[in-house]
Amino acid sequence: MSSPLRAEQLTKTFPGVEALRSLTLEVPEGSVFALVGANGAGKTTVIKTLMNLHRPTSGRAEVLGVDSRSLGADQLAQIGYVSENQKLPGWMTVGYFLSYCKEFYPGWRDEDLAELVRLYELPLGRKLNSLSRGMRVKAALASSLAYRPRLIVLDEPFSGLDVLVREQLIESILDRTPEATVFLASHDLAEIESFASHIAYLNDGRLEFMEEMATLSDRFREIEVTLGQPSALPPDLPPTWLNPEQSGVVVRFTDSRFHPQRSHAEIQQRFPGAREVTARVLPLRAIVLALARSAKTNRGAR
Amino acid sequence: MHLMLHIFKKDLRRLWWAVAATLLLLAAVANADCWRADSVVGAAEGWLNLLLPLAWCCLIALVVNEEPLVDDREFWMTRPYRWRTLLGSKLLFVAVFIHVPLLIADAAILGIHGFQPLAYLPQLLWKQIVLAAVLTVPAMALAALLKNMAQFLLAAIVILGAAAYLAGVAEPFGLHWIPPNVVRYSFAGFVLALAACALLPIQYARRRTVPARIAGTVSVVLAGVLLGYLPPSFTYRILATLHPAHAAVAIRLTSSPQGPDSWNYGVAQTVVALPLNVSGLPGDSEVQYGPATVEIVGPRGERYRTSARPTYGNVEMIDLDASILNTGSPNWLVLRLRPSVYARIKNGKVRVKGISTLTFYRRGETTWMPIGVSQAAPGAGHCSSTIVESPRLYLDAAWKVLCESPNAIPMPTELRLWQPETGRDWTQRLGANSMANGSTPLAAWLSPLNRSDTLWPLAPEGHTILSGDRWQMPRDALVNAKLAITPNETTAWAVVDFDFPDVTLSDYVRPRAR
Repeated sequence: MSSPLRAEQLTKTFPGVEALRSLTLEVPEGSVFALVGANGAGKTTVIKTLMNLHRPTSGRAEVLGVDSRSLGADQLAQIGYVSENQKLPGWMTVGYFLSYCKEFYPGWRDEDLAELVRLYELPLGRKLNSLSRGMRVKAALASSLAYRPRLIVLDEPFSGLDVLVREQLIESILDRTPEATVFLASHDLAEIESFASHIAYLNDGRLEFMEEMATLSDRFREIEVTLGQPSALPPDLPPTWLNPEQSGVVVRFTDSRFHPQRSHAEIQQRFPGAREVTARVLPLRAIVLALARSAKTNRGAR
Repeated sequence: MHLMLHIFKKDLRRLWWAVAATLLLLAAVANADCWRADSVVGAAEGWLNLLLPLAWCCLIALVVNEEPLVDDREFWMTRPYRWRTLLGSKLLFVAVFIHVPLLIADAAILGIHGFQPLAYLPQLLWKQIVLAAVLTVPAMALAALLKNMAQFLLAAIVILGAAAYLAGVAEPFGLHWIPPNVVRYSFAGFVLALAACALLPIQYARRRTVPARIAGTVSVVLAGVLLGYLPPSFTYRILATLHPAHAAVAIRLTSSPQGPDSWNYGVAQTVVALPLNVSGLPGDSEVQYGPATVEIVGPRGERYRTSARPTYGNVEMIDLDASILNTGSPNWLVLRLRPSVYARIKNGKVRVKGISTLTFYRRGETTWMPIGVSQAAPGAGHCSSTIVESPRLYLDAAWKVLCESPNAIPMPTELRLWQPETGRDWTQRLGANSMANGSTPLAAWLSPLNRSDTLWPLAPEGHTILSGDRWQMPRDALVNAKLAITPNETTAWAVVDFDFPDVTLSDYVRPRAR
């Protein structure tokens, strides 16, 4: 399967700040690929570099088979891009904005637009700068979906929107898959978990992991071991056990490579007198938190 | 083309009010120009001539910033715009709403003033090219490098202010239209235009703002240096290369007759006048001496040089100033030295070397015309004469001769009023006494017509004119009189080096002014 988005050793440096550090990622076609991370992790920089709004300092990226630095009108005609801080021409009415955009896209479908306008309840006669943020995002999204783009790139599109609007927008985006690939950046993990097929976690400009959502859920477990009697944590814990902590006879950690048999064997080896072992499925938010805490601890140790 | 028009229409929909404002200003400028019969621009028209280019710059900045190239959050940047289409739409906008209206206005002004616009199409198109080179394209490039209107206005004010200052440094006497200064402006304008023409497509195609800003700044500084500090000798050499005199002109020091005693410069400088013999001048031409560059090498090797640019203001601070006085035979190299400098070198043998700039011109065809009519005078355009009451603050009445032409009016153009009955005549040079006064920007930069006029002060009724009074003219001198207009055509330029060793300055010193 080809990849509509690919980055190799992508690095972006601003004066005094290394915003991206050797980022390598590949977005499978037809996927809903979520790039998550804290504020300032570098998500927007990744997207702006991919969209040729920033030039990479080193490394390269390919978008729809073209080097991101050469991204031109032919490729942009197949990309729908919506960003939370995008500047729309506020003086235009919604109707004029949509008809203005239409001329740039050979694949524009009036019936799709009519459906989006109806779905989003867009006020065609009102100026963009008189609309609420949610309405502006809807207008931008309508202008980016009406030509059925091959690639939909969204940068924090839902932040600050109420739940109903979010659901509406997510639904209309998911309607475009799997014909379209969706690449979105967000720090709202609960929202991502509900519809992303792939996830990548960016921390301080560095990609910590990237995998399918289902695999991620399978391999992370919160493990709680109840010991027979109090004893210190063994020094040679596997590096895949994140954030180990002990409270009396109870030891807790996040296993980032959980496998029922292997994990059980490793626990028995480290804690031979364990009375009870429980493994709990983690929500995405807890996984990312565990990874973030682990990364912080490791940086502190270094 | 379809998308170019699509963007163009969007810009017009957005900026119709700004377009309307500039068209109104242009109409006001054209209307004032149509009805003006004077070389001096009125205050309102002068201000309009400044406001209109400024308004055009704002319109350009607004249309370019409809799709800003600097920010990375603009929605259009992720839409399938082709840079050639976008740039094309902006150029089309500027052409349609700035260049074409100006061309139409210019043609209308020429038509109203009796000139057939089609006959002067090359001049009108050349004006459009110059406007594009020095105003519209550089303004587009500037707007393409800056983030918003506020930045644009600040940068434009700084650049225009610096240009006005440097133009004043280069030419303190306001003679901006004379060919050596036109060379200077052309060089500066060429650098500016070249940089703008290169940066504009690069910025639209690549949006590499930081390197483009650096290149733009370097170009503006270079243009400023050329504008303010290009030595006159260099500009004359350019003119001499383009229009050579084909004559072996030589300047030598000649024996020293007594020069006139009345050289009174009224400043605390010591005046030394070296008599010159200028040979090899073309027989069919008159000569006019331009700025002279001189270096004096003193007995102990000390060197004193004239400033590379015309000097004015506090001349007491200048070590050496020089000019060539054309009094026939001999001519004089007049050196004005700071007294302390003169005291140091007056008795030793010094070497005086330098460069003189010469302009050759030939008398053109003389046109005779009756008083009070408007008539074509070949070389000088359309000329007319009329009596005007209180034309200037210091005059009660004057007889004014005005010539206007889409071409440059030759300087000097000689005027002669001749009364056949008495045989008396009065001569003037066109433009000799029409200096503008006032504190407003009194220049019609945008006019398609060059105008030059001369005033003959008329004596009040009953006033007796003394014989030999060339300043005033009786009103009855105009009865049955005829006016002769003789433009002088510049034919060539020359730069002549001279070198006089072993000169004792005290032998040539002139009495100090009392």
